[in-house]
Amino acid sequence: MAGWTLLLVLVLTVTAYVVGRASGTRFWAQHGSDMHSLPGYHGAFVAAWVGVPAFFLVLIWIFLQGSVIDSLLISSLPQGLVEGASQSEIDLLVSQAKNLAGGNVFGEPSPEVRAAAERYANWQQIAGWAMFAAALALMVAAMFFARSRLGHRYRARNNFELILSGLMIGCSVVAIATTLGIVLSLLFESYRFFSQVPLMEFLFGLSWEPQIALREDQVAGAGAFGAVPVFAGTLLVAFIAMIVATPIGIFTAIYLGEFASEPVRAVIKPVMEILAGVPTVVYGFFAVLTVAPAMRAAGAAIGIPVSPNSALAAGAVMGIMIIPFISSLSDDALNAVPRAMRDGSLALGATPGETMIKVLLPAALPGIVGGVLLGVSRAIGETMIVLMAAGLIAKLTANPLDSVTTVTVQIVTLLIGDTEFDSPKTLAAFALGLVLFIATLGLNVLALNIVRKYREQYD
Amino acid sequence: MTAASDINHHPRPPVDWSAPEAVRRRGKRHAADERLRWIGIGAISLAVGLLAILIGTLVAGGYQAFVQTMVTLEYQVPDDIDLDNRRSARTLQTLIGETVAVELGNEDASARKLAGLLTSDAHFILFRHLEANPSLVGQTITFSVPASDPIDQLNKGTIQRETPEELRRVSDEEIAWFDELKEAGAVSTPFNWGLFTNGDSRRPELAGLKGAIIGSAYALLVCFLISFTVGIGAAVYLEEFAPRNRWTDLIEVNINNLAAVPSIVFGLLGLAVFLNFFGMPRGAPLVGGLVLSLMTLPTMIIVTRAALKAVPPSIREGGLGIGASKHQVITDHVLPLAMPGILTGAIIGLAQALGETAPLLLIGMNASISGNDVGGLTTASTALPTQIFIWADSPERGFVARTSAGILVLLGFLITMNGVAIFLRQRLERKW
Amino acid sequence: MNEFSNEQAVNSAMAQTTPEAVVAAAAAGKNDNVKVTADGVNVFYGEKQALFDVSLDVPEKAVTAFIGPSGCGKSTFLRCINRMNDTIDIARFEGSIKLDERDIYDPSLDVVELRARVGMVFQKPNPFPKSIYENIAYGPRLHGLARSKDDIEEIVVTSLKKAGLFDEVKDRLLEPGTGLSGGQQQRLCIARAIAVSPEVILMDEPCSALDPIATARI
Repeated sequence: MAGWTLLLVLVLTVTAYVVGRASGTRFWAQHGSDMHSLPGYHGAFVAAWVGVPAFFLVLIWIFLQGSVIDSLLISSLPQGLVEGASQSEIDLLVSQAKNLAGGNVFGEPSPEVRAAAERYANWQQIAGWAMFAAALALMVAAMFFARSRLGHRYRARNNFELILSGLMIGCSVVAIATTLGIVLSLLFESYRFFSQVPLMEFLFGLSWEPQIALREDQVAGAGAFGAVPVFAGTLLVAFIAMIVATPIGIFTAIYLGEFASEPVRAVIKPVMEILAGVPTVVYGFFAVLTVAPAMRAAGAAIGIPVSPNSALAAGAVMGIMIIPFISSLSDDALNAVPRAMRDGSLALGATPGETMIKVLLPAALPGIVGGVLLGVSRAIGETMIVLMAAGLIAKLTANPLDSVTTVTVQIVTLLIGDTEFDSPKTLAAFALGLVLFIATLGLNVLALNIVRKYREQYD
Repeated sequence: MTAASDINHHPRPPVDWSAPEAVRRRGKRHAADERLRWIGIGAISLAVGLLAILIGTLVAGGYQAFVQTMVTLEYQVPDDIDLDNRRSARTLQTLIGETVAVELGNEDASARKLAGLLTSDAHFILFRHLEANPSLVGQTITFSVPASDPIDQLNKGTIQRETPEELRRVSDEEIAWFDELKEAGAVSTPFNWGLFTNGDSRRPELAGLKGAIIGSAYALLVCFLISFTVGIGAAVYLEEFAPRNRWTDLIEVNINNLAAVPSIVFGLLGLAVFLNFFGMPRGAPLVGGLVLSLMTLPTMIIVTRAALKAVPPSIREGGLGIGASKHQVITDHVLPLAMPGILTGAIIGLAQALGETAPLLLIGMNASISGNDVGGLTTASTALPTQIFIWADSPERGFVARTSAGILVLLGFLITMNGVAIFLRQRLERKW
Repeated sequence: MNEFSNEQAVNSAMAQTTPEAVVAAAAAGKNDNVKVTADGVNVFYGEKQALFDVSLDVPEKAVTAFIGPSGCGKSTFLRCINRMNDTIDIARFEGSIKLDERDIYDPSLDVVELRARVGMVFQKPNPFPKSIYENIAYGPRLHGLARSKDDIEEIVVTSLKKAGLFDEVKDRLLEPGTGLSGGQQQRLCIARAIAVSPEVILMDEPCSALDPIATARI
């Protein structure tokens, strides 16, 4: 139904354009150059009035239709079923009804569910037609309204451009809306989590065992939600990743900046871009398939036990992924140092290497440090590599050969499968997400400040 | 100011640059330079080498999945098969077993075991073929069916004959039968089109990427439509119209921060808002596309602004000078000139979105959905990267090769998209 | 004290370096040693030729000034003498330049040594983002010209005095060199160049980026 309605909007918008332009052409014939705007703009004006509000109506309708019908459905269920039932049981009934309405029959549904399914199907139909009708009515009204404003003196172009500007401002606001959405949803769900699990336990507890079975009488504290081992695991893997990425990245940038000839540079830059463009799921598979077994075999050869999900394997591959990041940011930082500084050092009799180490690198240091911080931020927020190569059990350890779990892995594992939005298990994922968001935001802001503050030194 | 004479009362002794000490010192300095150079070469070689190993293992692991062992036999389709009832497909099972027995000239062997040489869904495949071509009922047809996964691995050499029977997935008996079939010319290894035309399946020999590719295509379409339009709208406003005040600064800071938020947080946003609050269907490419578009939006805005900035002010001044309005100047002059840069950025942004996995997992595009039916925009499906993830988790040996093959397909798409973007950049770029 | 006495000093110095004086010195100084000899120097930037067959002698212990219209190759020639053109990929050098009878491109002459013996002050001041002290100590440390911390300190102080900057910065030697005014920065660069005891100092329009008062001081 939504598809048809959108088609209707499109058709009527085009019609509105034609009608409006026809009016404009008539004015042109009668009044000539007395007209303020070209006929095309008259058409555009009417088309905008018809198309834009209707489009937003359909959009909002699509978004809200689901939850409105859902609540109608729930309130229509017979008292007997609903009384005393937990949220998850009600959700189960609702999804049974929906499945039935969609033609998927599982087992023997009860008569109440059948009735509910019928109602659901009906309401879907009604809602669809109602949306169509509402859009149609809105557009017709808009067409009349807009057309009535037209006149040969009418500043159609200005008004159309006003609408356009309004739309563009709306687009800009989407970015803010996204951030607001992220912050609000994280805060809201985390708030629900912390009303069940104390904040102190979460931040400082040492035991992370969130896989609790769901029963009504389950007290949230029965599952352990101390996130310190998870944080520690994240930091361990990120640390290993940065140990791999930082030296390789910086020295690559040094070589490219000072020692590499043109042909070498022309080859290395694309290679770096390829490394940066490989999807993280590919890196994850590489870690599982090749790196982790290799490390295990190496460990076995020298008699050291290496876990198949070692932090070392995951961290090393993550480091590989971050190399191009550090390298390109360091390269930018080194290139930003004025050439005069390099010339000044060489003119004093310094070698290119000495110039690089004693003058250029210190001068570019803020930029490089900023880049490293951004790299850490990426390492902390990375999901697929650790999801595939690191472990699921939270373990508080500093041994890179052990298996650890990270914040991102836990977020995914807690949320995969059916999510009942009540259990602390699901909400814990949002609490972890909130911590992750704050941490990466903090790192990014810090990086930006460092770069900005020290760059003024030689501008 | 001190008189010049003052200073020269304590002249420094002239430096002897040829003293052996000085020469040695310079030698050491140059040696240090060389060392630094070699460290740099080492670092680069390490990075390049690791990339080569990555690609190498993928290709080595994946190329075998691009061919599939097929068994071609002549089947005598019974007259009495009921094409309207799915259950009658089972009768074909015995037919298949018997046909293999006939081919091997071995009437005694268990028909079930013989059928085990082929994929266990062979009877369904044959049935679907008959459904599509009812005229074949009662005829003798030549038909190809994929071999079962162990046999496929045997044929490709992954399962080695030398390993003792207890440790092997194929028994000696099965090996003998297979060799006979091969000698009879019934075995072939053509290109595995099924990888692209089949949907996902529990059995590796039948698993394909069709559902995943279509899911990704839908999601990317939604992503492009939204991020392209909203991104350009926002960028044009911020770059050309917005006054420089606190609000626009805030928006800018916002966009830069959004670009650096980890992708999984967007998944959480999608879960909480789109699935939970708006009640949209779980695992639908529509929702996936929405989440991806939110992720791509900051990049689009930044890229578009850069492209707009690159257009020289003289173009705008020229347009305004002849009386065009700001909107007209932008639509008619600035935007077309900036379009190559914008398109290039859009394609690169889409390529990044194609590889994103974590947020799609959270909104439900992670269920292994079997079957060849194609879903739409609002039915649950997988996407290319999430399908790869699902396969990577599967224990069957055949899936290892297929995961690598899936990765190669994904990389193929990415290379193509990036190549198009670079090509566009070269062809359409204007130097001011 | 300052501008006027400086002006006198500057005028007297300049009086010694009028073109006539230079020619006279050059003629008379055939006895004086010739420090730098250029012979048939051609310099190309890619396809474009910047210097055409330049041959001249520069005597030691004298100020030699190159005066000419902009773009005629003065900077290019200066940069040849300490081989700074080597750092420009597309620059090509033909001919020969000798420092004390030794070809500067002679493989046995380390370019590092050459550049220490032939110092350079650039058109625009380019102090390192280090402290004033470190800026000047940089060169001597590199070449091992000082054996102890006291030695270095002495070099720094002496160089600053010679550049006429010491009085103004003696209390803030550890502050960044980039925090000085334009004129002070240029004097810092001069002090930096002096610190390695060069035998020749090349100054490429050192005052063109400065105001008249700063110029007078330099």
